[in-house]
Amino acid sequence: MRPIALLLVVGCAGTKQQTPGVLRFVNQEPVLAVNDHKPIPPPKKFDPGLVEYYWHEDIIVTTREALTATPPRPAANVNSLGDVPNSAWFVNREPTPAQIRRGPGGDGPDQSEPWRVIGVKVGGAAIGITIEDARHDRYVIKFDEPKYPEAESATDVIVQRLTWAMGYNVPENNVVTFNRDRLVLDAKAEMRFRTGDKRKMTKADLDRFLALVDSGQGTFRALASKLIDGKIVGGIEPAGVRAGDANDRVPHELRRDLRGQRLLWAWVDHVDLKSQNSLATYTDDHYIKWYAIDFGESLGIGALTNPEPRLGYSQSLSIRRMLASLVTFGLHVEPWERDLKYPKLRGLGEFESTMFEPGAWESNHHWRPMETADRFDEFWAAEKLMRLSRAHIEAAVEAGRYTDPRAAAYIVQTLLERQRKIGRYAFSRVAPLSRFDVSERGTRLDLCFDDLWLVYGYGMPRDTVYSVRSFDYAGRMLGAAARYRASASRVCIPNVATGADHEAYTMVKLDVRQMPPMFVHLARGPRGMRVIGIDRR
Amino acid sequence: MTASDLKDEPPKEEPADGPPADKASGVAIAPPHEEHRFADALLALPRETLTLLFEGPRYAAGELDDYLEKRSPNLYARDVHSAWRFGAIVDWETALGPSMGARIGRELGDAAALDGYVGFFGARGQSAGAWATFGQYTEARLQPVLSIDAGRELERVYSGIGMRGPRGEYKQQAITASPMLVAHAGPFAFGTRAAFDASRTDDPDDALVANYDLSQLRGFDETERAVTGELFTVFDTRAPAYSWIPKAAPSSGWYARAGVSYTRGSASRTGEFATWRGALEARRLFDLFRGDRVLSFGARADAVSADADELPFDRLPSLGGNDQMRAFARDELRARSALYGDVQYEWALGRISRAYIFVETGAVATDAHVGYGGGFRLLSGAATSARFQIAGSNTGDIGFYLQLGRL
Repeated sequence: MRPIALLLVVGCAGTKQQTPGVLRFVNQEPVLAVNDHKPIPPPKKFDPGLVEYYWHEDIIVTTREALTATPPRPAANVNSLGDVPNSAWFVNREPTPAQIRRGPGGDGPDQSEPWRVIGVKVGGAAIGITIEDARHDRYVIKFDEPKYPEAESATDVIVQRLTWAMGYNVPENNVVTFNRDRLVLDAKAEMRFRTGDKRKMTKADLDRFLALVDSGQGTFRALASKLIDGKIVGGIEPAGVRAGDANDRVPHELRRDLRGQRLLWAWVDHVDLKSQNSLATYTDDHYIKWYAIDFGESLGIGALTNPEPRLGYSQSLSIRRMLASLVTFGLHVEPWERDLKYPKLRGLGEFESTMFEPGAWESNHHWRPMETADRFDEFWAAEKLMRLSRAHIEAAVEAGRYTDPRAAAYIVQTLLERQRKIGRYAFSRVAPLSRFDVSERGTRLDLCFDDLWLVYGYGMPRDTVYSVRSFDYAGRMLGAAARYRASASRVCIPNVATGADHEAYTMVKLDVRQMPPMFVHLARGPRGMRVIGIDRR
Repeated sequence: MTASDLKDEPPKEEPADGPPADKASGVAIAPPHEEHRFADALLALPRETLTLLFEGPRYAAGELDDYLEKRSPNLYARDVHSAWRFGAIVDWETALGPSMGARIGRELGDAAALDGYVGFFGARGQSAGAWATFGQYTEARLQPVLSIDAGRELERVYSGIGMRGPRGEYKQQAITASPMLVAHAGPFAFGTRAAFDASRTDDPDDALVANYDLSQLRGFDETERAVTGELFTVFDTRAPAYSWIPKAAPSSGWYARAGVSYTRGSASRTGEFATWRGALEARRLFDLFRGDRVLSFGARADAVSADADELPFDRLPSLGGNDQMRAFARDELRARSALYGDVQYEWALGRISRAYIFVETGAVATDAHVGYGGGFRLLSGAATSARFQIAGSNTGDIGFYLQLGRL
């Protein structure tokens, strides 16, 4: 990734530390929520044009990173367990399948009266208008292209549901179908531009927009996305913090919730990552809330409509791939160049699971937080992603309202297969032990945890052996190393020796399957011994 | 709202109190972060220099964004059809050095388009031209084109006939008017063209004076006027294999062109001249893999009926330039007949970038040469917008060509 810089630092690398090292945690419960909703003055807008944005991200920042030797820092907005506390960016939620089917909002615009067109969608190339329904709720209506019916509307809603289920803020999106006479032009309708200009919107404007998406069948199918409350102040900066936002204290490229999205986006093949597909709103409570939006090119739709089969496999400008092709005179064959067969069903794109490799997946353009993601960010994301069952996924796909049930079945199956690959990928790079629990037994304690490798059936308990050592606060080993064989995916290690000082501060080192070890930090709290930190290596 | 809806409604998510976002880690003693300060310091100069260089285009990109936004409100560049066309080019040939040109064009409704260009300032001289293209009026897709070119160009090439001799320089002023009518029918195009030209060649350099008897060289130091009529047919089935491959890089198909022309004219010093000319060109493209590994074979034959010494030398078939016998200067090899053949392999580096290698052979009269080389090109729709090429020959000549932009 940083070839020039790598040459300069090669040989300087040290060996992985197998001892507890210097890291120590405060003896307290992990932080479950942060306060990033303190009132702030209206912030500056971040809304660059697309060409300028791509130039900056793909050329300038990429060049600077190639010429920087220091690697990206680990995520900086995590709690002592490596989890992301609730914030204006992310909420730890575990919705039911029924809640996913319904989504974060209602069921779309009111259908009892015509929708008043009050403007057009601002920015982007997709065709959209803004309407107000009888409840005075406002929606952006984004149309399916006549050539690709159902494709973007279904995809957007499915991915919106899954993104929300993972814990991110998303707009309220639903699929709608309607006739032309449902739309009436409001007398105050106006065209607003990203540049700040505006003018009155005419019927000719509306007709021009509709002509571009009219399939000639008398009805329109579209995505209805409810306008988010508050004042839009642009998108998410790929790096750094929002100027003037005292709540935004962690550079975005160091946010685990953004970095961990790499696996979510790989799962759903959300190739169209850019600041313009995110949103920051200045809420009525005077703080910024951050959203992911515009998922319509996911699930292989981008590769179909652009059309570019490399999408999902290669970025638009890949020097490494260009060099590989140059020196091999084109004999090097990329995965997407193989003769992949995609089902030709209404609403489907070029979405598959056979060639999919989670570690190799790439978005179309550089998205900084994703590119600084490390295996710990990915482990965090994979743990959440794997909790989504077939029922959850089916609920999300149902919300996409494919008219052909074969299309829905294909998407569900492909998502399940890709999800399985993601779990294998992420859980084989970090010791996948989670949900720790500790109980005291005299001067010793039992340490229990889930081995996610076993939970999701990637391995068998009988083949799994854990090596356990414990250390006190000073880093001195307590007793001898022990080995335990798993009998189920929930594992309990008995008789772990505890430290004598610093509130019985104890660090338990766990090794499994030749992976880098992890250290579980324990200390005595008001109600006995507790887990106060996790150090994954 | 039903009880079922209430059950499905997600719980209300209210912001909770807690520490600031950067104070959630619960870490009492943190390990140091990995840093490579020395390497970063070494890389600082190229890093900051390149950043500065890239800031200018970034500003231009922002301006382009605003333009596209205004041209296509809320559809970002979709449906943008400018009536105006602009083009610019900088190119660099071994024999001529750098030169540049610019074009401006305007569509006049669906019926016609007008284009004009100026260019080749620098060692190559000056030229200008204009052409009008008229719309497709009939089922047969008749397309009339009228072009007018005028210029004063420096020709830094061999000006003898037959075997290759020393290079020299002369200057040529010329003006040409050329109406053309082309009818398209499927892969075929049938055309007829007339050309009226007047030119004068003079101002030889020392090399020419020392090596040639210029008084015996037809077409030199005299004014020519001529009229040419041509009939030609084109067969073109070249096409990209997939919709994501630019038209400028077809994957397979045939291209063939056959033309016959008759030229009659007079020169102020050496009298009248007339000749028939026949030209045959063919190229076959083979898609080796996925439409962007393409092998092509090409051949061309060009001959005049008059003897070489009966025609002004600059009207003889020739080889040399950016596209055929690429190690040699433009039109460096001249004779009564010219034969050319090449084999080229081109492959994709990215969606709009290609690399290619070639071997070629060409002969004028009995003077045969072999060339080889390769290059890169960037594609923009149906055109090559940038090209770098280097070529060598069995005679030790090296040709270098750089093109940035397109006309």
